Amino acid sequence: VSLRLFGMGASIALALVFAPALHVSAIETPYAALEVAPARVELAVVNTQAVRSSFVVANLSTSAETVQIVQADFTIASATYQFMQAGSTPWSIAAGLQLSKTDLLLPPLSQAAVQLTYTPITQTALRAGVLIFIPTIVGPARASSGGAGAVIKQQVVVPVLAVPAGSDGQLDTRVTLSGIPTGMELLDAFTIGGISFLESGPIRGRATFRNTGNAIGRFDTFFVYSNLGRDFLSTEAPPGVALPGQSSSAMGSTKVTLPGQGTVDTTPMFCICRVHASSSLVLLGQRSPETSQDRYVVIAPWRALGLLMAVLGGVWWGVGRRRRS
Amino acid sequence: MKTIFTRRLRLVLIPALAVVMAVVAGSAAYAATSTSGTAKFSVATSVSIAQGGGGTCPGGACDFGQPALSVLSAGQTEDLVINSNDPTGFSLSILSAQANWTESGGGCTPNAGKTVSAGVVNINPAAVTGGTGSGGTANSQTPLTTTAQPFFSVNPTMTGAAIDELLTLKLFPAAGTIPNSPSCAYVIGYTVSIVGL
Repeated sequence: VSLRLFGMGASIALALVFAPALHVSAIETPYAALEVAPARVELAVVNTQAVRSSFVVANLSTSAETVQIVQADFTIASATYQFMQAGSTPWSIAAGLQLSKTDLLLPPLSQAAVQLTYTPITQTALRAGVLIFIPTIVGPARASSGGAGAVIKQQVVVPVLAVPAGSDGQLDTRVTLSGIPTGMELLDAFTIGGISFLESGPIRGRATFRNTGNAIGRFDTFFVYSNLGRDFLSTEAPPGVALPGQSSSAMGSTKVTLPGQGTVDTTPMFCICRVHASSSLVLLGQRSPETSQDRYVVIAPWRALGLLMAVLGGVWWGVGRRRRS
Repeated sequence: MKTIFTRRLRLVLIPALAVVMAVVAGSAAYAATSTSGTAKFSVATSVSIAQGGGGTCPGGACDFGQPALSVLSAGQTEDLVINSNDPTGFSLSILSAQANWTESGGGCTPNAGKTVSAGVVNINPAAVTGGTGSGGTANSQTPLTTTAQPFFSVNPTMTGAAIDELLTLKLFPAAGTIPNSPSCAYVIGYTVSIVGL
């Protein structure tokens, strides 16, 4: 019995020790705080059947807040979503999109569901738009004092895409998903006679791909770095959204954050490096054929080597001069 | 002889039977007073954005007081708290709803001729912190415009319940900025959008 009591006591002590460490601190704020799930919606449209989906909108604030849901169109410019009035783009989804509610009043720390129905309009390969969720705290507005100030509001934006699909959920044959590489740039490198050189240090590459299909997609890009044919690092870049005909750039670097080790540079000091960027467009869980591009760069501590050469040259010149004299 | 055997058999059988019946009855009673079930749920990708308690702009209001003209002011920091469970990442962008802002405020009678450009606000985003994964690469200081400007040249892929974005704002009012009417101030509104990638 005493052994059991000891075991129970030890368990309770261990639980008390680890409980604070396992506690995840949630956002607790009296100001506007909004969560929306899912963060993006891709609807598979089969023939003319209406498609339904739903959102959960949560008020994470300790104050009550209203949430207004606004439909808008978008385009991609400056590598980010630019919002426009609903119905203003040829690929607008707005005419077919209906929401069960557009104004919500949410008590503190509560949630509500919003139903979304898409009735296919003339379905092309691309129908897209965004839903903008705008939270406002219920209460008196702040009065500003004399002088100058700025007031921030925040909003959650959810892209909504409708894509023609077969009854099996696969992309319809009307949808072409393809991309081509349009160039890769090695930042910090200098080029002499078509060969790129880089001082020992991290390689930073920017690879650009163009969407040559007829649907919006996300470029999922991988970078593989190798030294004389031996791969030493592979990284995945955050996806870049591209409309048909648009280009999207992905950044890759050999400087990576390793668990428990902070940020480290994995580039060898001497390297004849190949940077290989491969990418494919992703839509409705399917990928386009992969496309890729390469760049080569010669890496060495050029400044130190230059200094060493200068010293050796000086010594050689000095020895030669002494011999002559 | 047979009687003795029967008695002994009863001595063994009856307690055994009693035990079996007790177990069966106990099981039946347990079955009758308990229910079993499952809790089913699925998790979708989600993003959230909140105004945190840190920084110097509580509730999103950054008060610069009466800044000197033609000089870049000291920074005010807006603290944004983000929650993302999506390792694909998210993007943040900022825009002003209008290019010019007329003076406003409680007890203010605005003069339509007293306006200021949204571009007097300069924004300095920072890489996000406080979660697991890459915090992204922040863009350098830029004036606020009516076109959405991304915070990052490389978007973050960080996940976590309390990811922190510190957005620093600085004012650069032009030398010719018109003085305000009594009780009025130039209040420039802007919106930060979060989009799941």
